[in-house]
Amino acid sequence: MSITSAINLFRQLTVDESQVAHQGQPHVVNETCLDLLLIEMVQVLRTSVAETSFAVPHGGLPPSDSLELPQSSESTTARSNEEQERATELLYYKVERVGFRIGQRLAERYAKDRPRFTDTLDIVKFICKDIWIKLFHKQVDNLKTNHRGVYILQDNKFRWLLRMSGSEGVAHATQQAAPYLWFPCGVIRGILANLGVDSTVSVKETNLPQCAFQIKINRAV
Amino acid sequence: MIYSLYLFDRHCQCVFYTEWNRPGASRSTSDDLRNQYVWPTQHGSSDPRKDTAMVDEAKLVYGVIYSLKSMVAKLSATAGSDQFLSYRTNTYKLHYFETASGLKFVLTSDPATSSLLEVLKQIYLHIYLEYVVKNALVPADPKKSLPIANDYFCAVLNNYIKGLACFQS
Amino acid sequence: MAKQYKTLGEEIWKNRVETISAELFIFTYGSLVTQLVKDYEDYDQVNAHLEKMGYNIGVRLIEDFLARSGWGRCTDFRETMEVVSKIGFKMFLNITPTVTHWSADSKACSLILDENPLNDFVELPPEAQHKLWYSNALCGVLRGALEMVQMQVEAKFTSCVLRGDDISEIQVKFVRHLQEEVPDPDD
Repeated sequence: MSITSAINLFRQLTVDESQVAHQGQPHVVNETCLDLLLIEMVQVLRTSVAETSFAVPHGGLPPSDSLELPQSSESTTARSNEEQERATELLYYKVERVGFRIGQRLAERYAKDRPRFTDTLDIVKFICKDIWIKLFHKQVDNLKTNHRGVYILQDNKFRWLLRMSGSEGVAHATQQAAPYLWFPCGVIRGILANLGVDSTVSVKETNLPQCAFQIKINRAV
Repeated sequence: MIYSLYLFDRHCQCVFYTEWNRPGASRSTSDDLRNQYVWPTQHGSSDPRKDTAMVDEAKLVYGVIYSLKSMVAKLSATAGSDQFLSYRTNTYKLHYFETASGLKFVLTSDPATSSLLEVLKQIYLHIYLEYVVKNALVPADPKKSLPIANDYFCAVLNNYIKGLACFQS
Repeated sequence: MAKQYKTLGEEIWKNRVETISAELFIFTYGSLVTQLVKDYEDYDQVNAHLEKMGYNIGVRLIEDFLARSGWGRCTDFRETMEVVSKIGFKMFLNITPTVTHWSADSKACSLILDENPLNDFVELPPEAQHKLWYSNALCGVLRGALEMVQMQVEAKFTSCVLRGDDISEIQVKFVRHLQEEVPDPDD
């Protein structure tokens, strides 16, 4: 199957308003469904990285093999570190893409019934208020900008981090939680892109369950 | 007065243990979580001998529960529907709650404490579910036993237990 | 009996469940399916991975189900399937599939999904229509959740409206009761 048709799959998922409005009330599902889907989504994409992106050997063994080998020699360790980094990078790319597409859909859904945005700040505010309330039942706690295209969105109790905890301290848990934050980064970038703003979104800092996203505008409307 | 909590998984393994006012155990006067004995040990074990003793004890506790369950089932008139809820000795009472998925929650207390079944159900619903099941950092592999070592679980559990009216009285 | 489950399912949905707008959930699932299709470029593999992911979700989800519903152990497969439909599907997706097409030995049945929120907004490209089981994660959820209550089942879609079929149907087959593990006598 070709890549283009795969992409079409999602493009063709068109919004049918009559479906949403049926029975006169918006569809709702148990929040647990989303919580668990997000947890396992990262896992399934991790598997996908291992199975598809490393299928063609590129100067080394596929990671599934290298993990099982005793890593005694320095060269093996170096190579596996490299592979590790590449795997992380690929995971980032996939998770972010999944979020990005969702952001585009959300923008389509929620931005069309409101007055035209006046500028980029207006759009960022829309994300901080409307979108955040839709997704997390609360607003962003703090929005900062340098007025030169950089915005910091801080959420002191980011909903998707509330339950994340490990045994090796906050720093370690924060590191483990990273992939789950690439997803909202993608969502934010997707919303902006759909509204005509090209941006780079990253995690500025995390201190579970607090989290700050940085939006850097590359090209405004 | 609440003494201790054991949690067993579906593979009959103890995955969590902690104690509060347990008689004979070294009791800390402060509220500091670091002075409380928790297994698996959170930040490097300070007392390996105690760990070994605890693991042995947990096996004994599991054995008792297992035997009691079998006995209750044998003596029961309606097959499969009876579960034992607690037993009491002169010095302590053991409260038991098992889920259909095979998790076993065990709380011990002084013998006069009334039923703690609801407390065990609350631990399952509000603490285990939130900080183990829905914690993305805890892998869910149904084939393996995974000791519960996570800070929120311990902290919330402690708060909850210490806030109970029967905690120290 | 079925009526009683229905009432309980509705009560749980109303009072013991936190809800979110379905869109984020639906979009997330859709976007993930798209990603897997791009990654694997093979619908059979995508179906398998969706099932596996569903299984992992089911393993966690069963605890939410048990804790919130207070449900004890079900031993009878027929009864279990009623509970799955009227309480399980109800409390997570707010739908109650029809349980029907029971085999003579009561070991296989079908869940007819009159509505399926995952399908909302979705239209498959023609070539996927014959190969992709878009909601295949649901089969995995059933398998994972039931395995945790000692019931091994096989679940698979036999038809799906997204493929142009009249109905969406999951066939569920009872395989066996799993034995509860017993402590190691050496310990």
